[in-house]
Amino acid sequence: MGPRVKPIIASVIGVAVGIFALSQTAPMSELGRVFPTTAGIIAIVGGVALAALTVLRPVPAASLSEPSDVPRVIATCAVLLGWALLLDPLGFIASSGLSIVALALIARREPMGLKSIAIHLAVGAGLVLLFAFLLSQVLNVSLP
Amino acid sequence: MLEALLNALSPGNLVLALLGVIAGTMIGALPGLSATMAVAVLVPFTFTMEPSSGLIVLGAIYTGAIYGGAYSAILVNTPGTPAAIATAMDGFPMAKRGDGDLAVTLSCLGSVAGGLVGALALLFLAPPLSKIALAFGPVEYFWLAIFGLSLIATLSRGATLLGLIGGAIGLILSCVGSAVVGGDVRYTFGQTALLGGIPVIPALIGLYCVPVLIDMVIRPEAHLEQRAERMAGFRLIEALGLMWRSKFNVVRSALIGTGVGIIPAAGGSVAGLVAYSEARRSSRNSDDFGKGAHDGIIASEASNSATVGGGFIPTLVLGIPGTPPDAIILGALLVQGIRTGPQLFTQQSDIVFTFTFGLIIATLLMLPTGLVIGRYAYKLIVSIPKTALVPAIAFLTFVGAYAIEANTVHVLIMVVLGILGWLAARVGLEASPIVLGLILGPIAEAGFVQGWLIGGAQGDRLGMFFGRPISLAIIALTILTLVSSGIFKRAKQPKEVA
Amino acid sequence: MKKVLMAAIAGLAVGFSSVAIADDSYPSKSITYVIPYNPGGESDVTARFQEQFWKDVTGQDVVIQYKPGAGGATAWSQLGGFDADGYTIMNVNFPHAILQPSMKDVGYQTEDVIPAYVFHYTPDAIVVRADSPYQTLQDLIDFAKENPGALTFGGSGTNSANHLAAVRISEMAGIKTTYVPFSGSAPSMAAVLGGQIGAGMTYTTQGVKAGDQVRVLAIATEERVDIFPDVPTFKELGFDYVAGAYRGVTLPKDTPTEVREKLSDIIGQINAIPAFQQQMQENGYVLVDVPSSDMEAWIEERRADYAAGIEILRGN
Repeated sequence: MGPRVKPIIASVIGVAVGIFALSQTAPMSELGRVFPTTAGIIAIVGGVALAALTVLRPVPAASLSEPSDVPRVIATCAVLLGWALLLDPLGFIASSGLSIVALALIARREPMGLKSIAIHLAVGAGLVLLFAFLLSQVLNVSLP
Repeated sequence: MLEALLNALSPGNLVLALLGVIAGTMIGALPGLSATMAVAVLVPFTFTMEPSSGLIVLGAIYTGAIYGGAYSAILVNTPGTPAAIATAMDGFPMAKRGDGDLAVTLSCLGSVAGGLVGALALLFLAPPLSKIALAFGPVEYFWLAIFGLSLIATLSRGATLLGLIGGAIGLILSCVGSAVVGGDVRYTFGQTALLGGIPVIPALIGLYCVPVLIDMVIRPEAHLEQRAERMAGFRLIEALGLMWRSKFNVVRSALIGTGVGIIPAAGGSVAGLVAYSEARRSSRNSDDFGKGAHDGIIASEASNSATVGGGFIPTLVLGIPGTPPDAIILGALLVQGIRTGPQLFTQQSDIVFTFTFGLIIATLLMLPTGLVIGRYAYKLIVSIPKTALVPAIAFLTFVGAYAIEANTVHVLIMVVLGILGWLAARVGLEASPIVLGLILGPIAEAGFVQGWLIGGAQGDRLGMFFGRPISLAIIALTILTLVSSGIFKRAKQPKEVA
Repeated sequence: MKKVLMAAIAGLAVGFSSVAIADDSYPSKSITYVIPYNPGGESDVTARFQEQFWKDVTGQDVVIQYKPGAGGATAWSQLGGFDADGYTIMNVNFPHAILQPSMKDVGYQTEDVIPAYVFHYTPDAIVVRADSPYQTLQDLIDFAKENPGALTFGGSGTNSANHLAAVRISEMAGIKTTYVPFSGSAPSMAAVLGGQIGAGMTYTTQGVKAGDQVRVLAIATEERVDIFPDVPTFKELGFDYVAGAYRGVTLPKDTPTEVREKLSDIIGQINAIPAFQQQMQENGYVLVDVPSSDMEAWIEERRADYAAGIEILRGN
């Protein structure tokens, strides 16, 4: 990615969100429209100004390369989303147990011994059960 | 008053206060498990207890829970309550570079100092100070929220435009749902789940914690740097020295916290942000803020803990609770047959004084409790391998986002906002401006709409917004902050947008 | 991403059909009592009052939970998603539950939240600061007549009980006033005490809480209430106006009738406890008893009562 790409994307986001916000204000009451309109205009103006500055300014030095690991990112996001969606159908304990194992596998870098796997599993299970108990019995939060 | 002090110091009450502080600190340390929840669960027990003992437990839990939010803010960059947002801004960079133990100790000392100032104000000055609450009308709230938003300029060092876009996105997010003031249903896409708006705590957890999780997964190095030369300690002497050097900051932040606490509906988040902003403005090393400045943590923690005592002032004197925990405790008082009002501090005062002394004792007990729990929390986070840390933290975010209202939709909102937030941060749109917009937007909007209506009725809108002394003072402070943040200097040294 | 979110939310909203079990021993375990507002308000306080006696009456605990949002609509729109077994009950308020669905789509209909029992109401009351120039309701009306629109009424929320009251009373008195919505009773009272608004359109309970910092000008009850013996009713002052916020306890729509009636009995029994009655009255609440069997007629009566006011609100 060139050094100008990121600010350009950010300015496109600003303009897009701003236009979307403005496009929805028609059915709102006169006073209810003030804030969304103001915020939308700020987003658009900020986006346009950022884009203009980025283009006009001399090309900045390339930013430090950031670590990137696309498969891991996608896997993490997928597990988190799946976890959130499965809370209701599978229940709190089952969905949490599955997702915790999945996340541990994603985060793993070195091979683990059997003993270490056993410890991880035991701690994970203990954590889930502890919180299931804490929430449902102590804090009176009903679990899915 | 002496009798009340002795009553609060009875062994039974001391044990209750200690247990309350420990339980509160641990609950507060877990994002999403809030002071409100802890206090609400305990209220029925106070019906059967001695009234003063019950109130002492409630106060102790509340005090502990507000402090506990500092741990998750410092160690995993996730403010468990909006009050700890400013703590994360410098606490996490400190922890990242291996000074997490010092950050935790500083936050504890700051909280104790702030908590004491707030509680002493409640004890001695409650009736006169409650007038501050009444001097704040809708317009003052509006300007106070704008002042808070001006901190975006400070936070987004050299990338003001990105901060501006982020803040605007936060404001738009804050409009989602049915507006209590005005009644419009906005940006819900016909989803009834969004009628109540974007829930603040799940949004906070998502925007701050999910990016941390993703970064932990993609970076091979340890979550927090570990100092090889020695194991984590309290670093109490060092922290005390820093506190002494920052004594003005401590006092100023505690007073800001007490004052903002007295204003109903402003609360810990505004107090933390205002104190942080003022600390930065008056600091000689203002460029260090956001990179792990000690003064940032001290300011945030001293002020948010001071709001506890400050918040009880309008609750007890005027019957107007500032925060949800205050409201629950007010409800518990009503059940006990206590009438709020200025007379509480003259007649019928025993129970109030016992409660206040209980609050002071709880604050003092927070020192050992906070140091010990903080040390173990830090050690735990530093020593756990990532394979275990990532799923454990992810699990806690789920617990927190769900528990706040036992709602699985909130969990989904947390995850979606978190992933979008991580993506946005990749192009330079950081979480903090968005969160500030989300939290301060409703305060600003309600104040604006009410001020507009009242000004219209009085036929003087201009005078309403620009003619009131407190408003003018806040406007002046806002301008000062903007000038000192350096946004007007940016043309000279354009910085690269990371 | 938005599509995913929407699909997910839609999926969740479909929910699961719950199997309701008619149970003779109801309640045989603790009941979750959902309050659709933030703690500290009237709904919370009255639930806490009930909580003290709940165990004596039923032998089981009650657990209070808060689901605030959208003036109560967030919780009420979720009611249908709970198991219809009687172990999740919810506070429901009127006129809110009639007003909101008739103003816009809020995710529920009045029929979805029919109470099992309505146990009290908080009468509407107009309060002003103790040092306010308005000594009587007439002073207030005179001021508003001379200065149309200049009198500000502060209340909790838009399209709420307070809003409806402000609209109806202004209509009856033939005056033009400005209603200023706040995000709850507490902030609106703060604005009254701070002198930012002319008068508070609120409930008797807030008058009790504020004590001698305020003066109550009129109360919307049939007869004077004991805690404000010197305050006239609207009726005495020539306004045929008796109103307030009625609070009841509701269950998911599909709950078996036996369970609904048992819950109705429980709330009725608590309402009959003298200590409970005393606590309620001292704090400005007026007890009413509308059991499940009378509910249909009561709801119709409410609808008729609110119809004219709703028309005015719609026209705004």
